[in-house]
Amino acid sequence: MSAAPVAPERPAWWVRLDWYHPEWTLGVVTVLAWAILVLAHGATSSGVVPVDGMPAMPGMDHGDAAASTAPTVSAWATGVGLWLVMAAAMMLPSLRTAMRTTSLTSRWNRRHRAAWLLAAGYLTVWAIPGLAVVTVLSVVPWTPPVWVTGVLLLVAAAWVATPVRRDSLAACHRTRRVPGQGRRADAACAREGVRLGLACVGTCWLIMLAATLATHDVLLMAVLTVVVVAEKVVEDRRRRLPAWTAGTLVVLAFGVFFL
Amino acid sequence: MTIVRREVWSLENEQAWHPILHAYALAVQEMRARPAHDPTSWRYQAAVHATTDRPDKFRNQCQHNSWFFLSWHRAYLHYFELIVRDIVKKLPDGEVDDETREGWALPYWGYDRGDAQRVLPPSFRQPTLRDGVTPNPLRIAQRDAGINAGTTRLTVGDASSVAALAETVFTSPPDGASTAFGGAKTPPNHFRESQLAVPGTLEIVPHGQVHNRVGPFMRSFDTAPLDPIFWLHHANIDNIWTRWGGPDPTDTAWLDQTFDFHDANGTPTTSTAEEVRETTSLGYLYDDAGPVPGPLEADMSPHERDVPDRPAELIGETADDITLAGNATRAAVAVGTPSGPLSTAEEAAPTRVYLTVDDVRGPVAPSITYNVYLHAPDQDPTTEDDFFVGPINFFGVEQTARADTDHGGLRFAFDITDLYQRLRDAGRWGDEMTVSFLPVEAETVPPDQRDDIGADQAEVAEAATEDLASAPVDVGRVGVYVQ
Ligand SMILES: [Cu+2]
Repeated sequence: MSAAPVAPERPAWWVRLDWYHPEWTLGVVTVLAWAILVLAHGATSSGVVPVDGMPAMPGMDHGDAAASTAPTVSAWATGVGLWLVMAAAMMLPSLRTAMRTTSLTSRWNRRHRAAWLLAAGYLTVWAIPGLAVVTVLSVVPWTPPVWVTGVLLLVAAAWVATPVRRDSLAACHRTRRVPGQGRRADAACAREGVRLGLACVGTCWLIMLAATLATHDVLLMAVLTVVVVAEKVVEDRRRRLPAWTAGTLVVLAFGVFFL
Repeated sequence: MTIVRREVWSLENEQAWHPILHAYALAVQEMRARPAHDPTSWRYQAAVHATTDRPDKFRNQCQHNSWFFLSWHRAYLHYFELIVRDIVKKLPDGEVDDETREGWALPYWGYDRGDAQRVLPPSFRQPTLRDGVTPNPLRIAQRDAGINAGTTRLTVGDASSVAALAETVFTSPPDGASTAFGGAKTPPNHFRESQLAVPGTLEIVPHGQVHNRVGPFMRSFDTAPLDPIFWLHHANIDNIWTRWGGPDPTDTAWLDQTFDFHDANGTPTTSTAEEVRETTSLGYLYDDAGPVPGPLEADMSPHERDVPDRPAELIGETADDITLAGNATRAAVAVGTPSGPLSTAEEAAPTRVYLTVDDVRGPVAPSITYNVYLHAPDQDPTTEDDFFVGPINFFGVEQTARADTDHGGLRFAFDITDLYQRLRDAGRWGDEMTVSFLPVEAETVPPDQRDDIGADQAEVAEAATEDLASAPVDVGRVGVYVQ
């Protein structure tokens, strides 16, 4: 009698996670980004930055309140850095489908590299409006009143109804297969990231601007992140309802006005 | 009462203008006369498939590139059949007999049954109804000239259900490469929202091939159901599902997903895969009752390989976009060795090998299709058919030119395990392979087999067909995956 065939051993769960969900690294980065945001927020309310009802901007002077309002290079750099952390926390999770798709359809030894080159291209695009906003706010000594955020959220809700916004969101959902090897593959991944970044700016610029001007309102950022990620990760178009997105933004706007 | 859907050519061979087809023609005429907002009208029924005009939960709902492809279309056909039967019941006495009234069922176009069946049936080519005067509602001008004249027909490759019936599993994980009978496991997927999904083998051939071959209306999502042959084509796809021997999914995600339709009274109703899994629960059967090996199934060899529990891994791909514009086109495929799960698996050789054709884009579908081949650079697919991978078609490609769809382009996947093993055994599998695309036109019907029905009507459409034949399309990448 021959021996019964031995079933191949099932690999450990973490091996299978990496096999089927190579985008797990995105989860780690997202958690880190949120941890930094929450810590920055905690530092703010504990008085590192003077607070008079309105927390400070990332681009604003984080030094002593008595110091001059003149921008310092380090404050500016901190502002840009914090802005990128905010973009990573709020926007990067929405890149999940694109990163996973690119990983699974790349050569095995390039799967993480391909996904993170994509993410780098994407964040580079988001860095440009970030630089602009942080620079302006570090030069102009202006603390935006709360109603500005509320108005921006209302405008963002209206933006949801525009064809430009609809087409940008569709472009956020598209992926392309990239070349297999070498510089050509690296460049294609970065280019895809840039394309997705541009589509994402077209979709979310008002939401990000609102979140920026309400910096350190971590709760608002968290809710906006859920809205953005839901729109971009849900594949079933029947469950991607512009009315819900716009409605949530309106509710948030009223929350900002009256709470 | 259970009604029986019959093969259309068997009706045609019984008599010209068989009562079932005559009744269908009159019902189409009636539906065309109904206003577009009426859910039982011709235009509304087409909009249920796809439309840009006020899409809602009923309209623009067709399911493709997904495991819902078969179940959604079965329900779609069922409600369409109810609407037609309701009209047939009310037709005047001179037009329809009682037997047809009571038992009218949607016929199916059994093109995978033999050479004669690959021709568009006469009732869809006749210029007039049986009175010789009334224009025939089943004939539309928006078809390729030869098809409408009965001088060309589907190719064997278009019509073949062999590859589909050889699939052992209904669904595959959406991993960008692995093939299955019914499509990848996705959420409801209208066009190509699911970025890793590839269509089921049945959806590629014969389904997409036949769409591409018949004509401009059949090649596009929004207009396909406006061609009366659409419904008989999909009835055959539905019939092939009943002939497939494998098990349907048991996942609740598949069974319980609801889709919205209207019944014959225009009343909203919903449908799930659970409710349509058995055709008898919808009240119909096919005249062939189960698996029947036709002439094309003669050399069918089911894959007995299991699908291994590890992801498919890309080992080869083309470097640049490939433009297909009507000529034979070749591209180099750089091939490496696996470095993922397969490289550490007990067995050295892959259990399955796939070839994908990804990101196919273009503003309009050409009337020709392409056959895909994989071979060593010095080998020639035109002299040997051993390198055949599968056919690609362009049904729905016009959606890729729209800014508001989620597509990444059309995607195709083929199981090439046998081809891979043959090339390996012959020592011809190397680090550079060649993928070839050869254009395929409709097959010319030998003159002695033609019936001349509708032949004199064809000249006008000829010029338009020529223009479209080689409309260019771009292929983003060809990939080779091992699992
Ligand atoms: Cu179809």
